[in-house]
Amino acid sequence: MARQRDRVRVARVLRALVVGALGSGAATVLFEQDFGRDLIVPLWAVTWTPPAFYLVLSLVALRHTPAGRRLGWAVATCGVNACLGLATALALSFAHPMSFAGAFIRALWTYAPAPAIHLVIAPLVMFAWRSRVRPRMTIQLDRSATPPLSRPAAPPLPTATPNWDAVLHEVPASTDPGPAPFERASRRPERVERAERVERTERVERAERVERAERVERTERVERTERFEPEPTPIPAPVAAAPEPPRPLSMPFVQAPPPPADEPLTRISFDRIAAQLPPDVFVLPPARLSESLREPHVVTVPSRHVLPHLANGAIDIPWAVIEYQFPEMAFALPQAEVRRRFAGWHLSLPMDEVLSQAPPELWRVDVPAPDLTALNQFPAPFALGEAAPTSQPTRAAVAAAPPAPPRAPAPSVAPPSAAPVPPAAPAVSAAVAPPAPVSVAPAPVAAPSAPAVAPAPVVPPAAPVVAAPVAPAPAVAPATPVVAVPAPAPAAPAPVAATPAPTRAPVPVAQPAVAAAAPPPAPAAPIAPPPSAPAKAAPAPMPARASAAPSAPASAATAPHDEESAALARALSLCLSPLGALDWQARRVESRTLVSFVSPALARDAVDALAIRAAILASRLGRWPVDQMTIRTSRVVCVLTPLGARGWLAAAVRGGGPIALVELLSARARSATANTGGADPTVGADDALAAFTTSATPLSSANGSVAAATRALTTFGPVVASTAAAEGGGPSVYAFAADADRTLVGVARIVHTALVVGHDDDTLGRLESIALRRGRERAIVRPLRGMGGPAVLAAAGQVALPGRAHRAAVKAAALLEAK
Amino acid sequence: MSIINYAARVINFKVVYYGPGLAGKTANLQNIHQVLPDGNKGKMISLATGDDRTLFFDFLPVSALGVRGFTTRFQLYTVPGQTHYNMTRKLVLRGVDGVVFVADSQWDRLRDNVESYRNLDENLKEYGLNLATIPLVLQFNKRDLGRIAPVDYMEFLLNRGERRVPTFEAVAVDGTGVFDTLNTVSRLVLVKEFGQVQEAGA
Repeated sequence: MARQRDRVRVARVLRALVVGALGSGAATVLFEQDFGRDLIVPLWAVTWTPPAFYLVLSLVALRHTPAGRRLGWAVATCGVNACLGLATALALSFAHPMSFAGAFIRALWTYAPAPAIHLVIAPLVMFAWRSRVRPRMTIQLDRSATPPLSRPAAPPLPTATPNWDAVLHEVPASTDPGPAPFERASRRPERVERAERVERTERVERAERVERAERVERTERVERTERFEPEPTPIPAPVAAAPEPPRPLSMPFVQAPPPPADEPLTRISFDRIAAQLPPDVFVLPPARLSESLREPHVVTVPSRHVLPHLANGAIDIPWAVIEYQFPEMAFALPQAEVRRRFAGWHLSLPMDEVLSQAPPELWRVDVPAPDLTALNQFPAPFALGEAAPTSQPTRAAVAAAPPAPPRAPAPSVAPPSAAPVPPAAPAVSAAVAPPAPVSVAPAPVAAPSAPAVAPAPVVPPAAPVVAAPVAPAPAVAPATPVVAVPAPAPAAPAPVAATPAPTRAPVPVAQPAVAAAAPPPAPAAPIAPPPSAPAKAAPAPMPARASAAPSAPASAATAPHDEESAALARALSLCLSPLGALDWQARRVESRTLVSFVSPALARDAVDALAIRAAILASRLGRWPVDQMTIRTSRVVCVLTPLGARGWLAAAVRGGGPIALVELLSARARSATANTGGADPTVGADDALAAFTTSATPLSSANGSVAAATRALTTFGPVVASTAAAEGGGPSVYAFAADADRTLVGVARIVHTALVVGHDDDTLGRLESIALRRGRERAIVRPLRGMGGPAVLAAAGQVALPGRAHRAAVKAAALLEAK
Repeated sequence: MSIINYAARVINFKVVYYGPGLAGKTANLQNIHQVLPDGNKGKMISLATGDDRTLFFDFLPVSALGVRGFTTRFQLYTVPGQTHYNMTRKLVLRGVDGVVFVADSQWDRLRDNVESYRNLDENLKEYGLNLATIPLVLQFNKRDLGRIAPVDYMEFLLNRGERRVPTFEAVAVDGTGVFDTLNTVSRLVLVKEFGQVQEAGA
């Protein structure tokens, strides 16, 4: 700000100097051209003309400026005139062979054109400082344009609808003239404030006029309501007749006056809207603020602000409507400042309280119910079958299974319940009779939704998933993902795969990311399959990477160099192709292959170490085998999928990435590679569960935070809380499961030992949770912080919505940590 | 627009489950997929983000009864309810034969319901369709929760147009009302496709 001010000052001075130099230069040039040398002005005229002229000029041009300032301007201009004379004298003395004294006399007196030029140029020089006098002129003009304060109030408007546009836009808040940018508020003259007061008064008068008009209209409406007369205009249809979005009432700078006593009000509990109040506006806490309201604990809103918006499903009212109900002493800021700072502040009213006070006639639909008798031409197409909670029962078993009895129908509001539904069994038999080609050949189902699209080539599974959110182009027709058949992917090596030099001894098997960011429909897989021959020729141990990870069990991981691992990696890469370019690496971990696919943006070594630890953890859970393990940190999400005897698949993406897609594709990869593998060696193997399993003590429901956490974890089904104290170096466990599950406690401790202890926070970010999936059962282990020692939360149960379960675990952990 | 395969004697109908985000559209399809016998259903494609928000759409092909020698097959779609996926919603609505509007009954989601309903109307108009003529069923979901709006008010918000449509209360996560909704919209579609033919035949 100061720099800007200095810049303006310098610009003014430069402008004045230029004008003055032009004047002096003009006088000098005229003297050199021998123009007007014969003209001689009397001394008295040279002496008295400038002050008189400037005084007159100030009286004429600055008539709205105070007299003192005008006099100052005239004196300053006289000084400028004298300075111009000196400058001209200097110029003459240099330009002409004469002494300075002779040049001075000529410039001021004996050479008449020079004083005349100075007389004119001096006000022009002073023009550079015109802003010193102009605001007063502007203010004066404004004052002359404003009506006097004693103007009588306008009569009430007729009952016509008030012109809201005029009210709302005539004096918009954003165009409200404020002080000049560099003008101090304290230096604003009294007339400015007076003009603003007049303007404010006018605004209030306008608002009052509108208020009166509304009051008349509202009174009529209330009378109609009391007489149960319909509204003059029908209730608009939700869509067709009311396309205009709800327009909130907005008078941000005008506080609404208290409504008259007979006006119908809608009472809203203050507690229901207290959360919407900014915390720094009031000096009182919400409880005391609620007590200090004009009507304690209740905010009243005129019904005329509420009822017209019932059809929108939500009602927002401007702050100005209820501001008067708050005591002035409760504000931490002046109310005008509150209105200025929160100009568009609206409060959403709880609809249940509003609706309980609104006349039911206003929101009851009188349109007759639909006639659905025509539906009886057709039986119900679908009937309930046998639930299939687990995956893929055989078709024969399904055909033999009798259909389950239909459930009790939902309480139907509309007449469909009245329409007799034919028995479902014939429909089912009719439906089952023809062979259902859907699951066998799903391609035809793509036709209806994208008939114009040419038959799609073989697309990698779920390929459109990546393309769709980025650019939902019409080419990505909705039906395209139906091509979800496992790609009959031949092991075609990607053309962009870099072949490692077979002669280099320490060449790792894994190749850095070579995948082009090609769109998914491209026939070549984006992820480069490992070249088999070079992998065989280049036995590349990976001890460097494994040992680089501080907490990785380096001894457990070795790099493979067999063709089987390369083939496995190639098959997996095809399945994961929708994820885009990923680095991959294969290694041996406990005599099995761990193939890891890592996003290039991640720290490869740390993620590899995490995957190795997770793989070892999965092998330790022999009696408690998992289908998938998802490890979330603040920066990385790593999904480990056991592949049976063939090893593990680990896929890691950035935090916030498409976790569900990674899990889905990994599960598909597991299915695609499971046929060629043998039995899972972890099943039946010795595990560490026995060492860690211990008894858990049920927690009392009286414990507030535990009870709240239990309620938060209902996504896992009905759970009971139990705890196991820390022992043997293991953490204390807060377990939430259907019963006091000792196994869950053991699993949580193994997970803690394997993944939480020694986690690389610096590289991978804070460890958030580990989710273990076993069919529809899911267990989430989450480290707890601030518990005075190592502690974890473990929740397990049947989960249908994994994301919601994760959020529930986060909430429960926060509740426990706040204990 | 239904697609008729005369060679295979199959008619495909497209039914779209529309509604605001987290209203329960995917839950409807999951329940249908779980409960229907395997012979009647195909493979459900569900693309969700990590927090269970539908990323693109869900898809479930189901077979139904035969009509006049044709096997009817319904393709059930959902749309992403989040506001910034409108282009995807438009794409999914292409060629739609029937719509199930899944409304969230909770008080604080009523505004989303109304906005989504208006959005449905706008998107249908882009394909020359409108809510007054297309087979439409309203489902008021999550009726098992505590803080829900009364059905009368839900009807006032969503079903006071020139044509009232069938409405159902539902709890999609446990299947209540799911099949009533599906059967009604399916029969509305069939009536629109075959009703006049049958009447003429009768």
